[in-house]
Amino acid sequence: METIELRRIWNTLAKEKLIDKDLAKENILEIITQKSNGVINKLQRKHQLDFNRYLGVVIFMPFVILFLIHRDSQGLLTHGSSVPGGPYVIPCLIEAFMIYALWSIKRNIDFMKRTYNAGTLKESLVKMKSYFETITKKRTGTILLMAILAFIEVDTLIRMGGIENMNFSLNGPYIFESYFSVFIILLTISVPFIVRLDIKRYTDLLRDLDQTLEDLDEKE
Amino acid sequence: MKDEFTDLLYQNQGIVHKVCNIYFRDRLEKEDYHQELIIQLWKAFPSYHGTAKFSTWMYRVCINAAIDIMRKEKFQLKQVKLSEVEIDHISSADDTNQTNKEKLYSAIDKLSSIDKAIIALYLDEYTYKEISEMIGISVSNTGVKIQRIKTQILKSFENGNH
Repeated sequence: METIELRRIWNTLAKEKLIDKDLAKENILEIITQKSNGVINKLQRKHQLDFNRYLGVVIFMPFVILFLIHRDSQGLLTHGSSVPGGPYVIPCLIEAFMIYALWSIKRNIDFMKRTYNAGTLKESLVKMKSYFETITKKRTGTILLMAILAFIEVDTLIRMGGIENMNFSLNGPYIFESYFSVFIILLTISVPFIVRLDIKRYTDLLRDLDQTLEDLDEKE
Repeated sequence: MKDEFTDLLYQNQGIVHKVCNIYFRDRLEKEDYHQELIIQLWKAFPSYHGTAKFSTWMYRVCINAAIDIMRKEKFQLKQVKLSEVEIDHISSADDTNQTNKEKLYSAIDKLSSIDKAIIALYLDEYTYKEISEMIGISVSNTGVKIQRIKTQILKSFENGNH
């Protein structure tokens, strides 16, 4: 089979339309004016929803801290003897994690918005690669920071007597606190792994870009 | 500017169909992909200065946008379900009476995203020089790649796409 035959088949193929019919000029105008039904827009909306949810928690946590300060001023809080910052440390660290999560989603939204469509295919790939390199450079530092925060949080919980007073018996006085402590421990331990997974997605994409660029330059 | 863009796109919308067909034929929400390419073309339109043919510029933007969309979906770990079209397509791949058209689709489906772009441009009779300018590689490299892809496609035809 020769090129002419391939082109003949291609031309038949090219007459097939992905959607049922050609768009009228009014439809084209409607699409570019509304800008709302594309695939990327849907992904962006999903991220925006997550962003709003995390933002809610970030805004809510200072109120929790204020509430604790209020209870403390009434002498209703017990202080861990050797913990600087006492009962405020845990909410502050949760706030730190949430701010990280918020920043991470913001970064994903930013990625969704980025397009390099006007240059050559190679230029677009190189620009995308450079963007991802900037992001992934800080990966080791971020994992380390999250691991340190998780350690401080668990350590604080232990010092405050959160482990000693654990009691899961139904009529026990600390049942709620005990379950809450377990939840906090699991959450904090999992955070560095979540961060690692998040970063892995960027690393995989970078590897994929590298491979594509390599293939592009390759000459058999 | 909107009117100018609408007119040009209306005259050349076959390119959007072609690019969608080679990159997103197996997707469920086909209209969304079609619309996304039009949105990306509109966003890139200020960069079109009329020095090249509109169809050439449009092909380049569409291919860039299609590959970009696929990469973003992969990043989001978005599950792409098999559509009826693809199921038909797979079953027809086993059919001994498979048409040449289906064979070509199957062969193109197996190519990498870059190779898909190169062969689509080649089959649409763009010259090696034009293809090399759109992709961003040398003319000689383009020639080598086209020969390799053609061999791959023809081999696929001979083997009945298995």
